[in-house]
Amino acid sequence: MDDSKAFRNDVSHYTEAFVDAGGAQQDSFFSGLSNLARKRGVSDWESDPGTWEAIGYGLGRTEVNDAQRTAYEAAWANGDAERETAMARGFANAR
Amino acid sequence: MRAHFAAWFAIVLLLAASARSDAAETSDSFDYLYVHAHEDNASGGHAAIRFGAATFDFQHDAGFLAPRREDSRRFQHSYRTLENRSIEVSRIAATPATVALLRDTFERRLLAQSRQLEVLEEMRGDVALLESRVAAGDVRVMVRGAGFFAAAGAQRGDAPSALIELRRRIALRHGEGVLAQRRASAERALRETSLAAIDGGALAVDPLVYPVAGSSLSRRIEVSLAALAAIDAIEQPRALAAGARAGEALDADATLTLDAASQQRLRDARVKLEDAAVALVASERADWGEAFLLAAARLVTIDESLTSGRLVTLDALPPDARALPVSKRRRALVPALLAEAREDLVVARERFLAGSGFRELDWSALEEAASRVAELRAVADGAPLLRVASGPLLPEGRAAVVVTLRPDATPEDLSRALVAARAAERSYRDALDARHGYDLITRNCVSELFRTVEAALAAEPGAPAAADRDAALEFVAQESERRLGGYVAPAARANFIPFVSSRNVRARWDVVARAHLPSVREYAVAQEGTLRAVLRESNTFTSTLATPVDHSGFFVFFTDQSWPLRPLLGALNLGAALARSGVGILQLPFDRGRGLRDGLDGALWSLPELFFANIRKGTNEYVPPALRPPPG
Repeated sequence: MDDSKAFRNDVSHYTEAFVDAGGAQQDSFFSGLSNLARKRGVSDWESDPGTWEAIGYGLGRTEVNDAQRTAYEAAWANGDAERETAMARGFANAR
Repeated sequence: MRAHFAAWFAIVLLLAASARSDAAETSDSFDYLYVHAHEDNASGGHAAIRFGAATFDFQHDAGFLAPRREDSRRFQHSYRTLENRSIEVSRIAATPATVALLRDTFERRLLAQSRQLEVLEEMRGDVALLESRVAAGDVRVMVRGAGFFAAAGAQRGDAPSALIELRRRIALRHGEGVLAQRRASAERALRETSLAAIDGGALAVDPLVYPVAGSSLSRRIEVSLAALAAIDAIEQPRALAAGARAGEALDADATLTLDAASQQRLRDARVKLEDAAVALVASERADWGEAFLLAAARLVTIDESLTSGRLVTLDALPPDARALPVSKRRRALVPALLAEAREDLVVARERFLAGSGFRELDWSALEEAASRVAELRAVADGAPLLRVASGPLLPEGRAAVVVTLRPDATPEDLSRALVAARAAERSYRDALDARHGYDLITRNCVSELFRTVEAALAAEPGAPAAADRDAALEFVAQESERRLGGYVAPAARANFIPFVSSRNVRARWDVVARAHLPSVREYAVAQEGTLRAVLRESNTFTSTLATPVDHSGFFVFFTDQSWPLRPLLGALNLGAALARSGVGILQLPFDRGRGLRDGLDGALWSLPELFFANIRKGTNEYVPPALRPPPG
């Protein structure tokens, strides 16, 4: 397993924990994600599509329904089609 | 653990090569680890659970028991090689689903509890900030990234072309007005930010529930100031600050020379990094300024690398890195450490060169390796201190920034906000203390491993409500029987003692394999297999492994491998330590009591040996790679 995969696992675990705890706000989610990424040696987690796929995977491990999933994707990907696609791919892999 | 010079550094060196690669793997077993006792705050031993490349344990830190995830090789290096402690492994068979459930629960606890402790730190930061404001002095905030570039008025040389080019590309992609918009937004955030503290009462303290909190006041201010610093860096470009680069005061290092192919690889990486930096200016992240400043500073170092033909990187060691004094004895270890650090640098460099684009993890590893080499080279050149920090590291570029834009607030508003912040911090600290406070018997490194296992099992479908404690406990015990072969209560039957917990695991869980991982000294003696080796490694004077450690207890004989002779050797150790104490009394005027402390410390750990018990193993300052036991 390489360090990218380890980082993505962390992102998935974080997303799952955040959503399970009732978190939804983009600010709060991104802030926690930056904090987590820094510990792995990453500052620009946004530019890696793998991050978004890992977020989707973590989301897929929670009990959110399709409507909630769409709301999270809209809130976090902020209309970026590439990010939404990556999140959807991760979500599908988890389900 | 004491801050032993090379011990610290050897740990971080190993980490550079290995800790970047721990990820979950499918498995049908996991390991319970019992680590033998040691004189450095582990007189009862230690325990951990290993899932492949990741080992989880709990460490006592500032009154709290905090979860930790460690690279498994690094874990063994710390305990077996540097602290001479053997490890007893019990391999437990379980279905992949059960192993994944346990691993996920440990990950969840690490995430949730670590964040809870971080939130407490942020609340303390808010109290300190408001205290400064109430005192009517300058309010200064440490801002990540603000220290990469020279302060206004401290300009050295021309503005970096990378920053000028960034400005052009930002305008091209996002429009001429984007920087003005972002400046206005950051200034408004500073002026309008609420003084309200994080509501500690609403935050989770459950070990498995992530505390979803808004950003603290100090953090909100920090990221707004970072955004302003980022905009300043583009609008008024300045050179990198003195000290921002790794080893910039040192002579050229041949290891860092770049051939034509390496330079081309750097050019390719630069293109991608610049694209990413330009994109960050329009990011939704509140902390975009921090990431942008780092990217911009990295672009400057890459340009300097291409101009000079040798690799230039940012200094990855953080401002709060521990600075260890370098005595003459310790300085003698530097060549060996430097040789290892150079090997790590070569590996990191090759890894980066073999990739494509700008892969931040690889670049960060390269910066970290280059920074460690530079730090050791500086010590080799006579620097009196060695900075050390555990990785992975990311250059921080922190600098104090005076907060000039503040929300309008009367003295009464500020006083009220301070009172509220103090109350919130106190309340959350008390709540965390009740859930995570260390207790030798009821909440220690062992009990929390088993409680985490219990929590995993208690979350399974069909579990009764936690409020029905008896039913929940019964359910957990049954699940443990079904999944692990038996049940071990976290604090019953003296389970809080690490070696007892290991016995309980072996007696009750489905242990399919047992292994003894020898300490470095035991391993070395076994490798040689001669009486001569046994005798040589039996004492601190002739041992080839034991290196003198500053501020360690005085003793002569190692007794961990010689239990029949332990009382006799312990008596000799006690006598020697008392004699050392006597000499220490005479040395009091000259050594500030160090000799006396070493003698008394040695005497203390000799006492258990009189009764056949061994706690002291000694600590190694440095063990050459060839002598280290292979990970097991």
